[in-house]
Amino acid sequence: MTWSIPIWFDLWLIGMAGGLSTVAFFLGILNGDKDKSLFKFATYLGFPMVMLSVLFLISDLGNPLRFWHFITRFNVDSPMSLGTWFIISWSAVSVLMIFAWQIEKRRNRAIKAVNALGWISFVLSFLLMAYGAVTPAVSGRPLWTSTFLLPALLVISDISMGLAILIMVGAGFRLGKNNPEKPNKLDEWLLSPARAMLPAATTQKLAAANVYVIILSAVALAGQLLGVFLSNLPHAKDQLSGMTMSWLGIAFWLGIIGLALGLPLFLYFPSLKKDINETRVRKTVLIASICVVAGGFVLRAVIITAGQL
Amino acid sequence: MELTRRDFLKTTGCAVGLALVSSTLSSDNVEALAGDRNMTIQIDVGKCSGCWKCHTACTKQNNLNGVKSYDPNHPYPLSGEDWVALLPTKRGKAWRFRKHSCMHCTDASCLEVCPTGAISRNGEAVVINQDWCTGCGYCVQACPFGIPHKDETTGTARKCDFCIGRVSQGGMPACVEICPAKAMHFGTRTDMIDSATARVTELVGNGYADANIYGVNELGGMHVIYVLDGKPSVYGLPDVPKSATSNSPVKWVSGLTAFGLALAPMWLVLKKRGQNDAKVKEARK
Repeated sequence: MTWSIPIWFDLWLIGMAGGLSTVAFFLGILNGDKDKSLFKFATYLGFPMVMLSVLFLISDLGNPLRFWHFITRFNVDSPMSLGTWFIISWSAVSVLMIFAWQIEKRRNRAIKAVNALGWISFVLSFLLMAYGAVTPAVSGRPLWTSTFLLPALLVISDISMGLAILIMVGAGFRLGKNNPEKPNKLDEWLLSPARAMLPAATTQKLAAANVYVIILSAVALAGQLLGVFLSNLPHAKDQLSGMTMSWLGIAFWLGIIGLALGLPLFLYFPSLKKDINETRVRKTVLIASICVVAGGFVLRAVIITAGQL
Repeated sequence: MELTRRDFLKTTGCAVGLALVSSTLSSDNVEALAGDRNMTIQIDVGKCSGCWKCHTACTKQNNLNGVKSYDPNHPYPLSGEDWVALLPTKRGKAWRFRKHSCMHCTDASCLEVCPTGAISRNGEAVVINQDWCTGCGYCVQACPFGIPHKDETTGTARKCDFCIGRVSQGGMPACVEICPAKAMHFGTRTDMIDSATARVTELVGNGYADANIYGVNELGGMHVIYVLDGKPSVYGLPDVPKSATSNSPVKWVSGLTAFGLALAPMWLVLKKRGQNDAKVKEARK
């Protein structure tokens, strides 16, 4: 199989980083987050995700030491070539923003720079998601190309994962155990300012939004599968039955239909009308969000594998 | 030496001009080359006996990994070390074999999506530069016929190169030269299409109503054309093959639309919340 496990991780990480950044930036605008605490959190978390995804991509190359050949060409017809430049641009902007955040207490200009760069990063974050979503769709594989819905499905899944991460932060997800005598410094530095921007009411609204987004992704998935079923391309039906009925079908039904779509909907729904401050409700929302993120990984793994059957 | 702004602009202008002129010349040269030669392989599926000698010749010509025996019940698939495959199809009581290898399309998906420029056109042939290929596998995914394959030994994508070394010296591809059944012919595109048309007429006259030529118009015209005695799908070929990039703008727009649709619920629920907050504030006043 030409694209295997490293590509699953590559597409998952890059999509999640893009989704998280766009959602955090958008929420910051809607909520009047002048300090950009959420976006800062998203950038600090997204940057290592993108770097890791690049390492996965390089490790999947037949000749990893030739990775630099990608930056010798700009080919608008090739999503992979465009993606290379999106990753480079997004990373450069992120590094500049991280630098500006480091010095913003000393220089006012840094705050202005962050404001301007934020918009650029927002656009580039969308392009990162689009790169991960369009790359498999621009191919000759019937499962990926029979309709134009695969990019939509993957972008919606990216947004859903981004929302899920913010919901996890708002619902009190912590890095390690919470010990009041010895607070987790990473947790305090990375999550607390972001958490301050996600009060219970906002987190609950985000969970409500994610319910809609998950329904949207279920519609996109159904449309994609129907398109493949109706397609007359050779191997289209073989790939579809391979995805839903062979050994891969277990991952499809349990991982995508169950973990990525069904379980989060089942868990988010009842908690929407209850007080999220209750520990039980908070835990339910947390589990639902973890399912969305894990299900996003299975979605990519199954689609990438089935398309190459 | 101090460089003035005027000097800088002059130098830059000259450089850009030279680059434009040279790129125009080089593209003209390629067209001239293709126009002069435009050699094409014609494969008559009905005449192929499945002797497998084309695979043997290809393997020897390109120093690939070993000559193998052929079993129609377990045909070898294409791989980085097997650039020719024979796909068996049962037609009535008889077996038909379709030689499956690169078709050197004019609108070659592999070339279009290659992110590093390792795949290029050399006259009729679409070739992979083995010293520049990173082995990303995108060409493998993009080809509508599933031709290029990643070679685990070299770490690169590999496929038929139209025997470009032999063809450029006036020779013919090794597979065509060796074919004992004369199922393959090599010549100018016009000659190959003419003889294929005559053969299709003959097949139709013999009762093969669906006989057709495959590869004349498909993907901008391919440099391997087939004479088929049935529909392309009978032989595992897409009836209307599409270039991988043919719908790519639609796919980018699909991603953008989904982006808007997915952010909309967030905007709606938070805007509603903002309105509720404003009502609460008003009530407090």
